[in-house]
Amino acid sequence: MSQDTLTVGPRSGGVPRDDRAPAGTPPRRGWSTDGNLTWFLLIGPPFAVLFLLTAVPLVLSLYTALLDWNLADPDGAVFVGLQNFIDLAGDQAFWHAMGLTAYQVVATVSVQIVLGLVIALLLAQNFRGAGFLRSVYLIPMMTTPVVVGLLWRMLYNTDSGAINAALGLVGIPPVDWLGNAALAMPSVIIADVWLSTPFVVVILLAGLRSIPTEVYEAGQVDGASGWRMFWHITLPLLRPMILLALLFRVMDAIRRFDTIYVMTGGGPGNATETLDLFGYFNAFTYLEVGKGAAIATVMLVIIFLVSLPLLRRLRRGE
Amino acid sequence: MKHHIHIRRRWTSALAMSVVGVLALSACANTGGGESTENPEVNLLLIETDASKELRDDFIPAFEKESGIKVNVDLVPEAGMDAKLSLSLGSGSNQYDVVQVGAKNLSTLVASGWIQPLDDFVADGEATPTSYTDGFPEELQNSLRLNDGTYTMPYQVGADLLFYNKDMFEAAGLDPAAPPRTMDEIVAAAETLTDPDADQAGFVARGSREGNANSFSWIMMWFLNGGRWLGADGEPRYDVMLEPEAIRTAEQYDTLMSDYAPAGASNYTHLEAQAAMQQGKAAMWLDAAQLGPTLEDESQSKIAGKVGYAAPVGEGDDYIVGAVWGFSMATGTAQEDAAWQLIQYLTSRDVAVGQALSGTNGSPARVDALSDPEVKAAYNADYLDAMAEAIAHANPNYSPIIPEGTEIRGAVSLALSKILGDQADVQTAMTEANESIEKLVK
Repeated sequence: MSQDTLTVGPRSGGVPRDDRAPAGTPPRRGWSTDGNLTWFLLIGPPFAVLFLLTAVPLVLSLYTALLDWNLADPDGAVFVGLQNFIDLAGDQAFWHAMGLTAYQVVATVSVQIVLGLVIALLLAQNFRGAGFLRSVYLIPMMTTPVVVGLLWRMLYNTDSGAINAALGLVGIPPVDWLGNAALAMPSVIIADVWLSTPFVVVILLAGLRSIPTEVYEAGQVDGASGWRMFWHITLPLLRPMILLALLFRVMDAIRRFDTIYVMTGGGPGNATETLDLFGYFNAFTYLEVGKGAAIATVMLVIIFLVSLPLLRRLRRGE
Repeated sequence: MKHHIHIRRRWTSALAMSVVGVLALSACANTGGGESTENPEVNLLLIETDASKELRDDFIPAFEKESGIKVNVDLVPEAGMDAKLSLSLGSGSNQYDVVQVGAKNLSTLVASGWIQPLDDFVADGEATPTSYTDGFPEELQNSLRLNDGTYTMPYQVGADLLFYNKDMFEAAGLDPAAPPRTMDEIVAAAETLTDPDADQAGFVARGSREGNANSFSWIMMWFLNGGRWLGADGEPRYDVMLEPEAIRTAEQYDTLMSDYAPAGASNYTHLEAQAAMQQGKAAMWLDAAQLGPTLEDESQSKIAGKVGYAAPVGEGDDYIVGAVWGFSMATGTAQEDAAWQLIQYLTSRDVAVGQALSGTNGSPARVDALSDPEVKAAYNADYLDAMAEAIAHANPNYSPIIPEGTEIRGAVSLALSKILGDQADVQTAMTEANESIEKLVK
């Protein structure tokens, strides 16, 4: 069955084209509706579900951000306009959370991209056992973040964790990794690097494999060294994939919640209370849902602003 | 024109089918509440403890068989309970018919209208035998009344006890028969008992900020030092973090948890603190009495048979944190009668005696269970004596009894966590906490 005789989509409605248009009539463009009941029946329900599950909560969340509303007094919601946002601007804890989020995103993503590139370059080589290593390296990516958080919490355990046990072998006294304000954030960053670097590796490996070998052959003919080929061939051709990995990782890192919540619960003090945790505590522990929604809105705007230039560059094919 | 109408009809019918489809899906998803009265089905939310697992696995199946009521049990760790309660009850989803609540949450739940008064059920002679209500101490019932109503039936009465390792006391030259009772004595004993070379900590308590756990330990100490959620005029007051008792307690908490507790104690909930005692890593533990019996369980404790129990002594008369847990009925439940039957069963004498004997609930709220000869014979006499003394000084108002109570506890927890994490000194952290509380109650 060729694509010309039967296609399912808005243009054909699943009807053989020959039955409804005389020969030589150009195919209709866009959303024609005649004879498309089947198509709408198929696409309608998922669209309605998607609409109910995304657009409606988003609008409700934006509206909630304009309310002074504590769930402890469910009927006491008062419309306050932008007051929640004004309060946030003057809230030291909010700026502390913003700073921690920026620190966490920049540190996590930059390490992941550099490390991911190095590992991808290594795994792209055809050596004995490379296939096995590529599969093994995907394991962290397939593990549930909450499980990863619990695992690292155990590894970091001051008393009985593997990390302190290993340090003890060389005479280093136990370190309170997650209980010390200065060490807690680097510790959770390391856990996320372990969790998400394989994702970067997978994307960059796919990019590396799509680079035509002829380009390298031409480089070799011109006498380019390994380093020059990496710098002038691999890196520029890999750039769209690096941007893609960067886009996904930045968005994920901004809204990172589960591993931090499980490992430190935002503590000690508020040393790991990023924007997501700050919003969570306000909304679900203190029941200040208006303020929580305002924080979520700020996060949405930040993700949008950060992703936009990356998306533009991607679209331009850089 | 006809063609347009035809198209519009098709559009309309497609849209209508989509909506019907979505509604059908959501209807399918929402049948868990069980509104049929022929085969009543009750959804119960419990905090995950050994006692609640035993309720789910042993007692509730027996209740189901007896009553014909199906009970769906959800267990949630204590750290996530506040969020679970607010999300499930606050959304008005009728997800749960009966919930386990602590005295710390009671005022918030009542103020929010998420749980309903039980007075009509209690007064109904047909639904409730007098032997059921007579089993609770009157003072306890009175202390749990809010807005002139009974909103929870007590299941467990917490009272803080000092658990201590008698062997470690002897080894350190302390008399196990004369344990420390006041906060100053506890700090001094902790110093003597701490021996880093032997990997022995002098003291342990809750240090984690999760579920405001550390503030629970701090409030126990603060009550002993004379602190209360009261102003000089005896009226409730919450911005009291800069009062001398609060500062002194924060300093003692810092000393005990930073200098005399196991490394990493700043992340401890009651579970890790309990494990440190069971493994013989800590010499003293200040925590709720109901956690004590597990120290005597030889299958999980290295210190079984070597545990001493003391009721701490503090300033005033009501210096013991009386953390009461009970069962409440969600507002708007479609299964009121079945829910009340379940609440009665969970707080019955049979369950209280059964759980006291199995060791999962060493401090039932029912006096008729504690006076049971079998229970008396099964328990360490020191434990029962210490608990009786502690309960006599119990004060259930250890959490601010206003809707912002959880948030106030959160501010204290944050300050304590900052102190233990070396993020702030005592004065700075407590000043921040006080400022946060001032904003909350203004």
